[in-house]
This record gives sequence, C-alpha cells and structure tokens, in this order.
Amino acid sequence: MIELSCKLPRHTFTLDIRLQIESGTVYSLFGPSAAGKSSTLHVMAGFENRMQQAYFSVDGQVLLQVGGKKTINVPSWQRNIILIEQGSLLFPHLTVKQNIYYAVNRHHQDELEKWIEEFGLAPYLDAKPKQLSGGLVQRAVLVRAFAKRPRMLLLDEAFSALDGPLRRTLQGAVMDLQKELGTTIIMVTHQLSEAQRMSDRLGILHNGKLLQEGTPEELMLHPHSWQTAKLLGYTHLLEDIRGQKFALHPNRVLLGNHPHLGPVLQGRIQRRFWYEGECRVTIKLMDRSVYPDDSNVEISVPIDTDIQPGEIQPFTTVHPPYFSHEFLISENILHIPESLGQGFR
Amino acid sequence: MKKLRLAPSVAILAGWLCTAFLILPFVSLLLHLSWRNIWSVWIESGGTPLFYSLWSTAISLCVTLLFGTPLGWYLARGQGILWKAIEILLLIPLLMPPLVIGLLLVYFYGPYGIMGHLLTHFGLSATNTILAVVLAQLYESVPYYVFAAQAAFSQIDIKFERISLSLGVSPWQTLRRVIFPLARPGLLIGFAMAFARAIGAFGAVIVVAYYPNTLPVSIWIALEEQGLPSALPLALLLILVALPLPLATVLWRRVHHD
Repeated sequence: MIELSCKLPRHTFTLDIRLQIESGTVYSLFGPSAAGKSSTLHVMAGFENRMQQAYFSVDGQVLLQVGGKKTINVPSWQRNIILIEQGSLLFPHLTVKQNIYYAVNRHHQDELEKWIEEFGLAPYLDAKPKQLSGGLVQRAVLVRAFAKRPRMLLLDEAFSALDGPLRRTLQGAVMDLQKELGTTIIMVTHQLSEAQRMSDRLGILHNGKLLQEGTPEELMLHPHSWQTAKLLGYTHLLEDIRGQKFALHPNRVLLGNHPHLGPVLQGRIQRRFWYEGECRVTIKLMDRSVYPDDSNVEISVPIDTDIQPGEIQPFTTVHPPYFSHEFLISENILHIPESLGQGFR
Repeated sequence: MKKLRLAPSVAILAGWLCTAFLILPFVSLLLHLSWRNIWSVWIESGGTPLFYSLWSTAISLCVTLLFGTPLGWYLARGQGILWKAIEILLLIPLLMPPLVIGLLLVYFYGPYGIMGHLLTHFGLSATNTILAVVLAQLYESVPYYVFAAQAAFSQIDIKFERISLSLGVSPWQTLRRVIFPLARPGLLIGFAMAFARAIGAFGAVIVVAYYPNTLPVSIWIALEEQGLPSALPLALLLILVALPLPLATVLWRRVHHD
C-alpha cells in the first residue's frame, strides 16, 4: 500500500493531497496544467523539499515524514522509485547500451537482453541517443527504468511527445511489463484517454486538490461534481423536467426517443462534422436552460446516421450523472483513513 | 538587389579587417625577431623565468580547479540570495584592473596586512616569493574559471541529475558519471582561459612579486633595461608556452562536440 499526504505551497495555490494506492496497480493523476500533478510525483521521488507537512510510505516503510515529531526523508537515490519525465532523456554522452546498463543489477542480465530484443533496441545499442528517433529513445528510457526493478515507476507525461500510434504501442508495452513485474505505476497525464486506458484507478486533481478518485468507470459514470465532470469531458449542465440538474457527455447520447434510458431532449441539427474519428453533430437545444449559456451542444452519432442540418431531432442522454445544488465546485470529499498523515495531528 | 548583394560583401570585409587587426601584430613580431640569437636569449634569460611561470601556474591551476569547480557548481545550482550575491561579488576581481588587484594584495597579504601578519606566524611571506606569484595569478584567473564552470554546469538539464538519482546512483557517482562528463567541454574552456590568464599574469604579479621573475615580468625587465629586440624573443617564448593548451582545447571541443 502506498500512502501519501502532503501540503506543499506552490505559486498560486497549496498542493494539499492525500492518496492511498494499492501496490502493484496503475494509478493516474489526471487534471489540467498546473494542477500540482508533477509536484506530487516529485514529492514521491524525493525531489521536493518545500513541504510544510508530508507523509509518504510504501508498503509500510516510511520514506518521508515532515511536520511531525520525527523528520524522515530517505534520499531519492535510496528510494528505488524511478521518475520518468516528459521528453525523458538518455544521457547524451553514453551509448544506448551504456544508458540501459547505467544502473542495472547484473542479476537480471538475461531478462534485460530479452527486453532489448522485444523493444527493438538491439540494432541501436552502440548508437548515441542523438542518432535515435524520439520513439526509440523513449523505449530505451523505459527498458532502463524497468531494468532497475523499481518498486514504483512514476511517469510524468512520459508519452506526451510521441505520436498517437507510437504512444499506444508504448503504453501497451508498459502495461505488459507492469503486469509481468507487478510494479506500481503512478502516472501523471493531461490526456484523459491515456489515463482511462492504462489505469486501475485515477484521481482528478485541480488547483492542488484531489476532486475525486475511483476506477475510470466509476468516475465516468458518477462524477461527484460539475468541476470533475467538466474535466472528464462532460460539456453542458441541463435541467430535466423535474428541474434537476444533469450533465451531458457527447458520447453518452442516443439519437431518438428512449425515455426509459434517461432524459430526452430535442433540438435542431446545426452541423455535422468529424472529431477524433467520431461522427458528431451540433444541435441547438429547444426550450432548455443550459449551463454554460450556450444552447449548441455536440453529440456523437453513428456514422451511418442519416440526419441533415435543419432537421429537428429528439435524443436521449443515457443515464446521465445528476448534481444537487452544490454542483459548481466541491472540495476534497474523499474519506481520509485515520492511519494516514500521522504528522498532521 | 544591389543593396542585398552589398551587405554580405561588407560583412565579409569587416570580418577580414577584424582578423587582420588581431593577427598582424603577431606576424610583425615574427618579422622583427632576430632569429640567429633567439636560442641563446632563451637559454640566458628565459630558462629560470619560464620555470617559475610554469611552476606557479601549475600550483595556481590546481587551487583553481579544487576550489573553483565547487563554487561554479553552487553558483549554477545554488538557490537563494546568498549565491546571487557571491556571483556579483566575483565580478569585482574579474573587472578590476590587474594593477589594482596587485595593490590590494599588497595591503592584504603584504608584511603589514592582516593575512601578511598571519602568514609570518607560519614562517611564510607573500612578498617577492613564489607564494606571492601564485596568489596574484589566482586573483587574475580564478573568476574566469568559476564563471566558465558556472556556465558549463548551468547548461546541463537538471533532469539528467534527477534521472541518475532516481535510478539509484548516489550524488557523488552522479557527479562523476553524468555531471562532469557533460560539463567537461565548458570546464576545459574555463581551464584553458584560466591557464592563459595565470601564465600571462603581469599587472598584479609585478606589484607583489618582482622576484622571482616570471616570464611576463622578465619581458618587462628586458624591455626596460635592454630595449625591444631583447624583449621580443622572450615574448615569443611566452606565446609558445601559453598558446598550445588553449588551442588544443578549442580543437578538441571542435572535434568531439560540434
């Protein structure tokens, strides 16, 4: 079990976060830029020293405790936690092979040679990093990290510089290795698709606060607040016939009248277009109060749907999440176990 | 179109003029030298000063490396106002005329200075000794090395340090295996500059250590006592000794890093 709680002043907010993560799982911190995601990873990796209060333990071993009676701060190089940052770098003065074997435990030599083959790095072992493409560099960075058999791997936007297909290939390779080795992975990303695809659980971070956490499915189906819902791709807040507020997600909509699945809306088709491989239409809602104040909503439709601009169509929002009056922003509503953050009391 | 064509020509001409301005005095030195008796002048007047120059420069460079490298590191990576203040203070010896440095050294390390008193207790003197030469060379050369080292360390992405540490490599090993190799080109340039400054140090040296004569001081004495023809062979000797290391450094950098 990984337990983290910390208070870290940043320029415009204080990162105030408490997490409990099951060992051997993949956990994502997802949120907009400057939400405190990278700082959280730096605290875990041992590269942050401005905490007011902090507690961090991995499988019962306390690696960091600040603000309590006793101060503990295990140095970064003794934590066996590897941080891979954006544009993650091979040492430019070493060859690919020297990079991969930079800190390796010789016991895992055979396994390492297997990974080098699997990741397609064998022909490039004697090359210098600047001779390699971005994808190959990232492969070598991952092999170098896994070769160390870390107890935790922290990925800070590690795939963001890569193109889509390559990113998916490497994500798959990392997931395979994670399953094989049981490494705990905590990743930071501002790409929801990446977080949802790779994670067992994910936490939504905004302005230094954890808004909500859960499995990708739990979050998608039951966002606790409108703030969370917006970050998960919900676009509009609408009222049903009883005056209750629910959120609209472009992918959780069916064309047609299906009242047993959720509220039915009606609108005029404005435009039909393609978005990230999906066919979408813009619909101007009729007789609805909408938040934000824009009655043009986008929804995904099957590609063979025969609807044209100007038509009036009913559509059903499928089991949408409802929000009570405190929908605007809810504070940290997670249950904090008593055992966590002893330094705070 | 005519204007566009003219612009590169003017730039090229300016480049050639600048190069000629810098190189021609050296050519003139070679033309005016009396090549027949150069060897005898070197043996008679150049041997001992050359020895003192090389010996004092070797010591001052060792001290520079030992203390200047950590200082360069902290100036590059140190946070807080203290390191910023030190950076500004270091500009003083860098910008001060060497002759003025010499005068300050006399007041501080001379027989009536604070450090001078202290050195006397240990049976040392910083006036007209090899120690005085080393001190003067240090004051003239250390800031050049420190600022070069600062620049060399600053341009290393801090992520490399984090990667190495998070891979479980200790800070000392990280310095040895990552930071120093990456900073080496910049450190070498700094070292070459410090060497050139130290071996050619004159203004501060002549104030605190007329004796033992270093090569630059010998050139001045020869000029004063015997005139230009006697000084030129020693000047050539100084150039021949001082130039190879900086030139080799620049060439090495070109071959390995460009």
